[in-house]
Amino acid sequence: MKVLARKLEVFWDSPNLVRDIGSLLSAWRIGMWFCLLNMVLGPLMAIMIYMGSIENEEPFVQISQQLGLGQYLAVTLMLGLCGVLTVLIPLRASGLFEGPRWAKFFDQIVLSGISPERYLAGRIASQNIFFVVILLASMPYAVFGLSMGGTKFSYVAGSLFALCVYANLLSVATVAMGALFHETAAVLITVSIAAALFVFGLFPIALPGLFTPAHYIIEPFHQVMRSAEQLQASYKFVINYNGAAYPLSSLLLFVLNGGLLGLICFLFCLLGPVHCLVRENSTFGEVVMPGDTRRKRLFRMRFVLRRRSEVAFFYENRNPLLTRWEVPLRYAPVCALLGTSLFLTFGVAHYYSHETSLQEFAAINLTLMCTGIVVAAFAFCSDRMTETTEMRFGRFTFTKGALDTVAFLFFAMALCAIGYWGIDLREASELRVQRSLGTEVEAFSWLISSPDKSQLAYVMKVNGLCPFFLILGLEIYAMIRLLGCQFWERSSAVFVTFIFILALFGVPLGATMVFFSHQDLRPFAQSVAFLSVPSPIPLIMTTVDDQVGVEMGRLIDTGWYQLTPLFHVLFGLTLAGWAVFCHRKLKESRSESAEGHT
Amino acid sequence: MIQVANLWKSYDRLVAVREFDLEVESSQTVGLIGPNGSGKTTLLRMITTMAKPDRGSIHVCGHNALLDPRSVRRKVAFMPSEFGFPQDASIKEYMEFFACAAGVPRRERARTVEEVMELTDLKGREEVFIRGLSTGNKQRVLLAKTLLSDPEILILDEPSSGLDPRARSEVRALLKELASMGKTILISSHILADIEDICSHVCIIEQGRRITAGPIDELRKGFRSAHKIVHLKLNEADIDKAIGLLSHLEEVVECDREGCVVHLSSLQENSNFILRTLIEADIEILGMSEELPDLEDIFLETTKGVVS
Repeated sequence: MKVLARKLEVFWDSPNLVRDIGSLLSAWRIGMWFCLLNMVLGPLMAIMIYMGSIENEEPFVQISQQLGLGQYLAVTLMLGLCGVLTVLIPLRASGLFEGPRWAKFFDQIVLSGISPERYLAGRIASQNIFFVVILLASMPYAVFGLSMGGTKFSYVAGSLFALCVYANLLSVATVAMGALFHETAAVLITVSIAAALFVFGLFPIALPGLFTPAHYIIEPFHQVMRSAEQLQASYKFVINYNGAAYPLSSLLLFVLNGGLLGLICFLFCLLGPVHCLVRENSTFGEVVMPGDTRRKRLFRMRFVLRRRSEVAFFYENRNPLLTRWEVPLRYAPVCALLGTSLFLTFGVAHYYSHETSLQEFAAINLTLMCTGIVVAAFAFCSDRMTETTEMRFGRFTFTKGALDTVAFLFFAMALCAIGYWGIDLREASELRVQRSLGTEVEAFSWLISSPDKSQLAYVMKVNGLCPFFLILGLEIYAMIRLLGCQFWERSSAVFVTFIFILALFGVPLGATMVFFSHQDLRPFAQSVAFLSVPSPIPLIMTTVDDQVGVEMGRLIDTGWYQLTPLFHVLFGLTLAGWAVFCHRKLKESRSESAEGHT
Repeated sequence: MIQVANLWKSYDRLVAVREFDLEVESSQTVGLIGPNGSGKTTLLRMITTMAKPDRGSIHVCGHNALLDPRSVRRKVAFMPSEFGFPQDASIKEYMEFFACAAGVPRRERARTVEEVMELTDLKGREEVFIRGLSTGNKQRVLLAKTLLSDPEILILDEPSSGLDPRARSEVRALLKELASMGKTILISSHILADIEDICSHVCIIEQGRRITAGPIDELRKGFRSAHKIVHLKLNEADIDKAIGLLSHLEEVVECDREGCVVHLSSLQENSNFILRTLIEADIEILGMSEELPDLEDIFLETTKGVVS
């Protein structure tokens, strides 16, 4: 118990909590929150009462009548609170880094030796006080709703609990993102994602319910509509067992999933960004690049890099245990998140596979695979500051670049395997479904029963694309890593790679197509057809779509596209070699400058 | 307490600190002096872990500042020359915030804040907003904040800059009091009189290099043995004769007159040879004094005024 109390002390004995309590509980601030909340909840309640009772709005009248006005208003109030929290909590969670930095006392905070968890946890804890203030401010509406009768206590308690979890999840997510990005961006990203999920949560779809309490809050409406047969879709996750369907509680799913996500975000609050102090930014508040003595002041500002280095100085105060376990702590959640989302996405695609044709399914499967590889490439890359950052695990020391490569290769291979065997999986699933339904197993499976030759040829062609896409993925990754060794910002490397790949895949093909499509230029088209070799599009078209356009057909007839895989293998190898060379050079220059550090 | 060995730090082509060695013992008060741009602030920032050296090692209270900056930050309190404050905080809120950040236990926090505010003469102004304070008072608040964690080492970067004479004198008195409490203090300053008054040791830095370091008294002695200034008051009639005799002596570097006073610059530590020469020549000596070099003399003599 004592250990737990000491661990939790970081929340209630944080300087930010001490300060926030003082500012939050001042009379004028409470008044401000009351006014603000009234401005949102007042009109919302009025509109809902109007729609549910006076105007002949069919579903709303029906819902309000079936639920009772008290419950109807309770749902509205909870939804209003959910919306308010979606915006206000991330806004209030920001300013932990930017505030002191702009007021120029962040160095004092760093020098105080305060650990990041203690500094950040205070703000997260203070959000609960803010949550209570918001609840108190909404009291008049709650009393009004209760006086109408019909309000279910269990529903209100469940919603409040979900909202409390939601408020904490939003604050910890904003704080974690604030440590990784600029806080303005962190707030924008969190509010956008939370708002989108809030909106999706209102629809009768089960999935958004994992991330937003809006789905649980609006459930009484869905229940009424479902009982009135206005809603066909299943709005809950269901477990089928022994022929019976067991719906899962939305509240439980949200709390479990939200709690897990919150823990992962809190872990990133503790870990912070990858340590990025190199010679150029090794002084707090200054970034001095080679050649700066000759540069004008305007070109020496580098706000983003300065912020990163200042945050890195701050994160030197973290617990040494976190440094010792950084490799698994940093990579395991990222891999788990990425893996789970890919697993869910593929799972959903396969779940609905019986509703799609084989061609459609193959297209979905390959698109998911390619998207997954690109996302993994963007997730596991570095920049000049972090490329050579050394991470220790046990007796071993790895550079971040090496760990990124291993993680990316693992994901790329796994995705390629899923892509390759995706159709087989669908077949197996199809067979299982048919068997479980007791229907005759049709000759759809080329694996088991006598194969349909055209289907078999198609599947083989599609499967043949998987290794090619893997090569393209590796090429994109090599490009990002190469640019990462040149750029100080990872986002710049990602952006340039994105532009470069689009240009490589699109521009030569576009130029060639111009020759094939214009009557006057067509005599020269054969001579310039080789330009299309870098573009993988003709190869993909021949593989998955027989009905290519006339111009594309002419281009394909030249046969140059057959060299595309070879081109990409060679190009990928060149990029990879170049990236390795740049990584080594960067590492050498770093070790030269750091030789006296020990 | 502080061991700095072979420290190098450069920004682009500019070498801010080079081959720097420094040792500060417990309870010493060391003044770091040097011309503008000599690398004082960079050195202090490296010691306080706010800058990483290119080469060299720094140990503070036995902790390696490069490998274990967290432990160093807990032992050291740094008062930078440029600083900011939260705009919407009163002195008490600011102090409570940093007392909590510095890990002062909750039960002792209020008492610690009160004690430190009393020590820094801020008592009675707890509710005053920092943004309305004068530069001197802001500096005082910052100094008070650095004392909250009861640090073993205090590092101050130009604590008296921008202060009026009264505030300067108050800060000086406060630092002397802290020194008497046994704190190890490292101060950089341009105001040599302050350093001379507060510090027992001094380190002169120029172009990032350590020019000289040691106890101020010993530096004075060393400086005196190189050039000693002697003032002699003689009769008007004897002055030309005395100058003629003295300027021919090997030990005398310079000799000139100002009214009835002869100023001598000598290489000898002992002034007996001057007296002997004058007495043998039957010259009456009306008065004689030796000038002790102050820190400014040592500073001007040892540095070239070159900015790196």
